[in-house]
Amino acid sequence: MNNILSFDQVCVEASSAKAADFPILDSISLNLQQGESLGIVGGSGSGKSTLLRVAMGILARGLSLASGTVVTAGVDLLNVGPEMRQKMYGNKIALVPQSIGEALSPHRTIEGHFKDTLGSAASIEKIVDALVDSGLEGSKFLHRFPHQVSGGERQRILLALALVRSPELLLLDEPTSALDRDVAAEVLATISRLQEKRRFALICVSHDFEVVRRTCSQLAVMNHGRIVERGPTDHVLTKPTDSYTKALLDSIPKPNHRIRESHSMGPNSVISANKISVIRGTKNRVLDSLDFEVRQGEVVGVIGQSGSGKSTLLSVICGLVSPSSGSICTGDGFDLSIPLAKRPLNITGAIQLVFQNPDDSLNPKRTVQQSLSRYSGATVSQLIQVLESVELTSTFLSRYPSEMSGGEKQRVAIARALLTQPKILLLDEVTSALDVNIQAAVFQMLAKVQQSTKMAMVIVSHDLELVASFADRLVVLRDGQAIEHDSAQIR
Amino acid sequence: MKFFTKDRTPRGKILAYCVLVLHGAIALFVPILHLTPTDEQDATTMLQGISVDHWLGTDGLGRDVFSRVLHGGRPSLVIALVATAIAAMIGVLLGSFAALAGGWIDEALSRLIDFLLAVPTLILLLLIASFFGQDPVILSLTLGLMYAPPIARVSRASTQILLARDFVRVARLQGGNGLTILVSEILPNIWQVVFNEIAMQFTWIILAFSSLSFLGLGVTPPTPEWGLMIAEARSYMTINPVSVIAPICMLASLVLAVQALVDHE
Repeated sequence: MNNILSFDQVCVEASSAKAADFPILDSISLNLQQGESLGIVGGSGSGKSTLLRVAMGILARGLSLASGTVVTAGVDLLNVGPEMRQKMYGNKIALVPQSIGEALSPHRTIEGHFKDTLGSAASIEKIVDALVDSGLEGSKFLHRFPHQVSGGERQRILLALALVRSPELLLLDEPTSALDRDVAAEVLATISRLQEKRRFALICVSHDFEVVRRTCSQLAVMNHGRIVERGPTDHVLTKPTDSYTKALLDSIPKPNHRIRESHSMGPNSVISANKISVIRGTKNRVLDSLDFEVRQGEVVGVIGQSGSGKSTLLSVICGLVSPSSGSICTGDGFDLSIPLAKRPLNITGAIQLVFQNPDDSLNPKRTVQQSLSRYSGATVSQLIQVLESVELTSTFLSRYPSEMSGGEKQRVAIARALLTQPKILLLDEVTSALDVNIQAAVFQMLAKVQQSTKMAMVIVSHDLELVASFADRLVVLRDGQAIEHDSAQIR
Repeated sequence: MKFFTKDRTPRGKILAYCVLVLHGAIALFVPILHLTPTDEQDATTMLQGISVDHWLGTDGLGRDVFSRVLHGGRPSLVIALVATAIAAMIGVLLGSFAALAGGWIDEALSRLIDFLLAVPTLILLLLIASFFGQDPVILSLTLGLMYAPPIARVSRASTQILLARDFVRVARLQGGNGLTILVSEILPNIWQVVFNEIAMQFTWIILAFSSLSFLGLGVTPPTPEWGLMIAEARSYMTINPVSVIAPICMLASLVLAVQALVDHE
């Protein structure tokens, strides 16, 4: 049988002086034949996206191929001109990129996108067939623009676009990272069905074992640019041999396993909101007459699909957004519907928010010490103490954000929030940008902090299992309304 | 010493640095070089070409062009530096304050910036110079005010982008007020972009001042200044072309060097 993709001892190195300590890709060898599917799992920076790019014949600026050969569909793509590569794309290899929001031109209809891809071979029947194959009601979508379709539909359209010229190799980069759980499951099922039917070779890169388990028969685990373990997916998942694979698998939250034990909460409420609504534009009700209460020492998990109003709820509590109607106040009766700038310092300090993206929540031009002490005025010994509470050492004080990993940055952001000794800590998807093993570590750290400080927390996430294993109580939001309050029922 | 590492410092950038350093050195040290005095006239040596005594020949009054060209950058540079500092101060403060304040204050300041941008700079400068004479203080202030709006626009836009960043929101949540947020969070992060804009405006200010001198409203003769030298020498351009070409080259090399550096940043 023909190899559709073959990597032979491929090493890719960074050419700049500020290179990483290890090669970006280190002696990667793999072969993929028709109908085979390979999942690649690894933490961020493990080299999995670079591997996908190299398979397409692309080396990012600053990277160079140190040794080895890559042959994709019979062509050494790294050593051919751009015209040849362009000819191969779509025909022989196709990629579904990670950022599905940006992959479609906002000014072209779906039909237009297919016509661009197919050129003179385009016909309505062919386009509709491709869409139907991807599980969409084809004719309904032809004249829609990208903003008129949902995330899941967009992912299916991208899949149909990638497959419409029957490529031999399909590359998927984090195919479900932008999708909600239920939609992701449906998309993954479609991918496996199409792969079985069309018999193309498939590489699926993800940080999530579940994605790979559902789509790929083979699994490779990458760490520091090397493939540390490879084998049939079920075998690797059930009997891992490499320590890194084991660590990754161990950090996946297990059903009915609690990261944090529930504690009794105080009788008084810290925040109580009564029928709050937030209206954007003329009629878009982001929050719709929502009642919400957090009591002393309580950890409330807020889950819901994207757009359900989770982050807006946190913004209202901390004052970044004022409610359009309804009342919200602290346990002492302070009215929280007034804008942030007019709140007294003790109230702003008592409510702290940690944002989702660790890369964005620290000032890139300031050291950790400057970031932490700027507004709190804390002394160095207080800073060291708070860093220790988030399991970092005093050596971090002199570091800039660019010198830290995502997990470390998020810990610093949490430490900064703890410095004002808040009564309630709001956590907005704080681990969604982190690798799964680091997610677990951050949550364990948060559990310790909560136990020692007994502060109330509101955790927003779309990851039900993670939140359920941490929170005392769950609130499910849909279209700005709370639809469920009982954690036992959900689990 | 990132500048000297073998890693891709573009040659254009090195050249631009060298030209700038040379201009700076000439402007600083030319008085101690004991060249022919710039206002020393000699009726016997008018409009001579290149010679050992006069490296770039002489002008219509027999003055040494080489000496005048080397001295000619000093008034432009001093006025341009002062005016740029004024423009930078007004522009950065106005722009970032407008973005931070938002609402009607932002709206009003933005319209003011638009209005200043719509005023034809050179005509206003001519008016001011005719009313108040060639006072360097007034000229610097006017140039600073007229070239502040583009800096204000860039500052406002970059500040607005930063205001949506999480670390600025955190600063607000931790009780930071407008001024501390501006100084600690905004300025360090917009500085690079704004500095490029300031450097661009510096070149426009130099050109504007030279244009004023060319029109006879910049420096007072016999002070040597490139724009004025071009104006004076253009009547004899065919007899001693070097006396026009030399100040043009100096002006162009300074402006190009600054713009090349900005491009490479």
